[in-house]
Amino acid sequence: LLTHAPPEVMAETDAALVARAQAQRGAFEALYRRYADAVYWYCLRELRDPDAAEDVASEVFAKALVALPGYQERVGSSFRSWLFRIAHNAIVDAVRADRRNEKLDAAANLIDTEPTPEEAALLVGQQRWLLEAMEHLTEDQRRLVGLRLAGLTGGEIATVLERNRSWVDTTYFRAVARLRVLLDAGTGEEATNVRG
Amino acid sequence: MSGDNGAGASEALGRYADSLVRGEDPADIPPTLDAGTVELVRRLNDLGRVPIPAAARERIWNTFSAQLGQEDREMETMERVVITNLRPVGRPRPAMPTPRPLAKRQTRWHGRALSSLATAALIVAMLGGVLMTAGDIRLGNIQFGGILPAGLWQDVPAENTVDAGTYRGNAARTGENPGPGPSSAPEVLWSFPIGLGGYSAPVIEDGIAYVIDADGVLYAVDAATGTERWRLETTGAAPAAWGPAVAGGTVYAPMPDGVFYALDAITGEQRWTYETGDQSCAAPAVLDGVVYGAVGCTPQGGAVFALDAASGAEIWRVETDASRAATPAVAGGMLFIAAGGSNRQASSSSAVIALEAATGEQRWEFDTNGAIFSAPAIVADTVYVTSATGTYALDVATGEQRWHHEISSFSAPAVADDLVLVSSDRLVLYALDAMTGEERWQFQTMVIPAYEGEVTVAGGVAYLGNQNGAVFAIDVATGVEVWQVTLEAGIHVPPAVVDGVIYFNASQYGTGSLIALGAGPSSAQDSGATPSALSAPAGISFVASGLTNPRGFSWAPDGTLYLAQAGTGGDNVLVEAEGFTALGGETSSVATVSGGCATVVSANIHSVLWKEAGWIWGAMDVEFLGDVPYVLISGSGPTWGTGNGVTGVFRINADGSLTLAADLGGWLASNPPIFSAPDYAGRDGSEFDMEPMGDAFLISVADGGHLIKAVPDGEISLYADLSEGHLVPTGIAVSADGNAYIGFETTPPYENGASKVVKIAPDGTVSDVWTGLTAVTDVEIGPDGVLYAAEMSIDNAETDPFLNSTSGRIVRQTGPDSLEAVVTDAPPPVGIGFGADGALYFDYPAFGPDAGVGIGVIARVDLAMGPVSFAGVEAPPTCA
Repeated sequence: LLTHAPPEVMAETDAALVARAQAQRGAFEALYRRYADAVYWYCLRELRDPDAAEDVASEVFAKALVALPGYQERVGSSFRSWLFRIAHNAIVDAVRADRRNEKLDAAANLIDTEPTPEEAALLVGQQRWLLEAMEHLTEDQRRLVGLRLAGLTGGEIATVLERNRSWVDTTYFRAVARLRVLLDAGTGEEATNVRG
Repeated sequence: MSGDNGAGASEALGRYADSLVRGEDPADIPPTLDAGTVELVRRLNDLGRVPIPAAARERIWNTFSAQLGQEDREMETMERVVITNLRPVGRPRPAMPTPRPLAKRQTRWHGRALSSLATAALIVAMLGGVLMTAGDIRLGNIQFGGILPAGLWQDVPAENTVDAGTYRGNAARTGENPGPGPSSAPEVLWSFPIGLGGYSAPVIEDGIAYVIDADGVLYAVDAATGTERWRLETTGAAPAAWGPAVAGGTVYAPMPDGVFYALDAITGEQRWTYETGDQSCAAPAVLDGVVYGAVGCTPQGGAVFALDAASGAEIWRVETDASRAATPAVAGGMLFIAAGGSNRQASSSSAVIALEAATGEQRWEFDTNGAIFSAPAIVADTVYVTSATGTYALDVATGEQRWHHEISSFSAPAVADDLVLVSSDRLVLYALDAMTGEERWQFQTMVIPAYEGEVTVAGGVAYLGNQNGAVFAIDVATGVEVWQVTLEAGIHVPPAVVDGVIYFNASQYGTGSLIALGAGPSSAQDSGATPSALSAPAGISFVASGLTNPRGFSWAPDGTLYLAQAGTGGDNVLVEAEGFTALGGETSSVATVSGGCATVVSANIHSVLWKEAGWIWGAMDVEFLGDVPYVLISGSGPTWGTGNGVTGVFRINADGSLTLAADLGGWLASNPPIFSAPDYAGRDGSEFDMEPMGDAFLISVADGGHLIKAVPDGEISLYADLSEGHLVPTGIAVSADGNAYIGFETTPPYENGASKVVKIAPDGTVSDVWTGLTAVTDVEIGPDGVLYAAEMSIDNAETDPFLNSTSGRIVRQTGPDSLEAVVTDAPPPVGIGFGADGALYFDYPAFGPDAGVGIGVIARVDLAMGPVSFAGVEAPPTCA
């Protein structure tokens, strides 16, 4: 999910890679490659600006590498939730900084949720629709779905957003329900045939 | 969303989503979730697998490395090492598995006493096979010679031939179907609605298509008309159904109510049932009067069984212990089944188990150290199987590994023409040499890794669909795409291919359809009734022919098609210098095109021919601001020896006269490019394309490398200087949000892959968005929102004349550095555009013999018909 290869076929666990990277910084490359796509997508969905997403994603990995020697896996936590906690904080900081500069409010009105042609080449059909539909979720719902897309489990999302699992499940349920409503509204007759 | 929306439902959804992100068995769907929600969550999960642009990934890395470099010089070492190694994510090579002795896993399988007279008959048959120890083995249409181990392997019975009535085409699961498939890009013949779809592969026998939906209904549908013949409704939703099998006038269907049904294939009348006690994630096989099936979709266990096809009596049954059971393959007196794989973790214990088909007695076991979720394929004396740890070829008699390839997959392989076709989790279909495992070709299918991307092979063509509805036909021998069409629903299972028709079980947000694709009446009529000299492949038609050096075109607000024709130069020697002789005349024009004929609306426009190079300039493009037409004229001015002429943008008046609206030559005189290439024409430039942007035009100056913004009767300014590297900017596209996309022609020898498309953001930032292109003359944004580019000529020579005239392409972007061709083998295209009808229009040639007189064409391509080749296609006269 997090790279071109699904996690199940990666022989080394995150914990093993972290241990190697803690001993030898060069080994961080493997962690970067495993999570670069997911972190970037998450940043892009939150910031809706490819350039800003690249900047923040770079910052996330820089911070993670610096902080890695002090990282310890704890019960109920994981490297992934730790990394996305850093990403979450970096995004919040970036949004705050933009607001301070009074850029974001102006920019928010100008944001075009249509994908650019080069993004459209990667996202086809229903994928594009889903991304657009996510714009109609609440901030919590969008962030949560974004973390799901990034490959985090409910427990990991709870850690990242500092909420309990019940809140995560309920919010995700409402987000999916909202997307279903949007789907029905958006695709007309065909959608009404969805069973269940 | 229906059902309980309280804590129970949300917890169930949370658990289900967790299992998806962990890559666990998507078959374990909580019963509290409705089908639409399950499908939506599945699609959301798939969305997370879309890779980011490689360029973005590299930029993040570079920025990240640079940030650290400022803080920590130690990073420099790492940066050097890592950046040079930066590559698409690879997969760790797994530890090499080995066959395991029988004794180690005997407890896993619990044989049940043989229970039928049929067993005795099978034993007799088996004993007969024992006598055969060497010779040729046949399976389907493939033959291998070889020495066989004594006492185990039998010749393949005649019944195990390729047919469309069995999942994967036969009991050996080779993935072949009788075919033939459609000879060209097909259209939808009919669509039959089913319930929750997308999981059961359709099978076809005696003119009836059979498919099981995930709501537990088996449908029998007339294969010619798409009308229902009968249905069997059962209770309980199937987690997944791999499909029924049809043989001897009987349909054998494992249904989600835990019952295995035998039904009359024509009437649906029940013949017998067998209580399996569990749901099935396996398609049955029928061979020699015996039905082989398996149940058990969860790690809690399952069973493999053999039933008498006539009576349903159990011949043997083997329980699996803490193992799920996938679709069995049966050939040569042996049954092979993948078992284990409690989830898709690489560490999960999974094995290929070989049983004697007559008794169920285990012969050998091969542990892959990684989950197997699909059927093995048996060809001759080899078992081919895919797993999380790669693709394996095993000896049928001993389980000994013959070769291993690191391509991991959860989809069943197909074996045909000495190749093993494997849909990998890298969104790519691989062809491996069946004998050696060496890779022969790859084909990008964008199939999301799952149990998906299984191909069906018929007549040397591999057919498959992806979750986005793309249907591919791929030449098995070469890996070259034969055609591609797109359905509005996603495809997750392999098709049946028989009698010129492809049958898919497709799904859109949980609603399934059985879809038949084949040659429609229109294309049949075209191919049959039209003289060959004037015929064109389906999807191609001609708007106008007999043109002379057509260039840019556009549609007026009233729909009228306007075309710039660059003319032929003339008799006047305007410039005579070494290597640069300019011959001019008033031979260029702007025309409208209607009814196949071009009618000149503005004549006597100056044209110039660069004699040594054969290039022609004149009217280069015509575009509209509001309802006012403007023409871009190049090749005039002092550089070109026309003291009174002006290179610029001219308004076309109602009477066809021209009024200068932007003096580009004058502006260029005082605004040279940053990097002047040796062939820069000087102050007048060689303008190529013009595109409206708000109240202005963007204009590319090919030799100068400028991108100029010109407001008619207003300001002219530099929009971007793209002169560095002398890539020769040509085509322009402007998106609704103000981004400009620029293609480059490059310079001789027009090296393959040396061109690209850059984006110029409204703030002036220039970035590469599409690389790996060749000699681009135009760029457009299609109705699907995706970039298209015209490539003048590919596979160019390293020596003069470099270009060739039959390798032009129109390509569609599929990724930052990838493309798919929608038009191939064309004369060198100049301009492309999309009409209000959604079709692609392009004109050609960019160059040609005899100054291009009368050989210009505007062609129309219906993209819904799939990619088209212009090889051997000649445009007929379109204007009487």
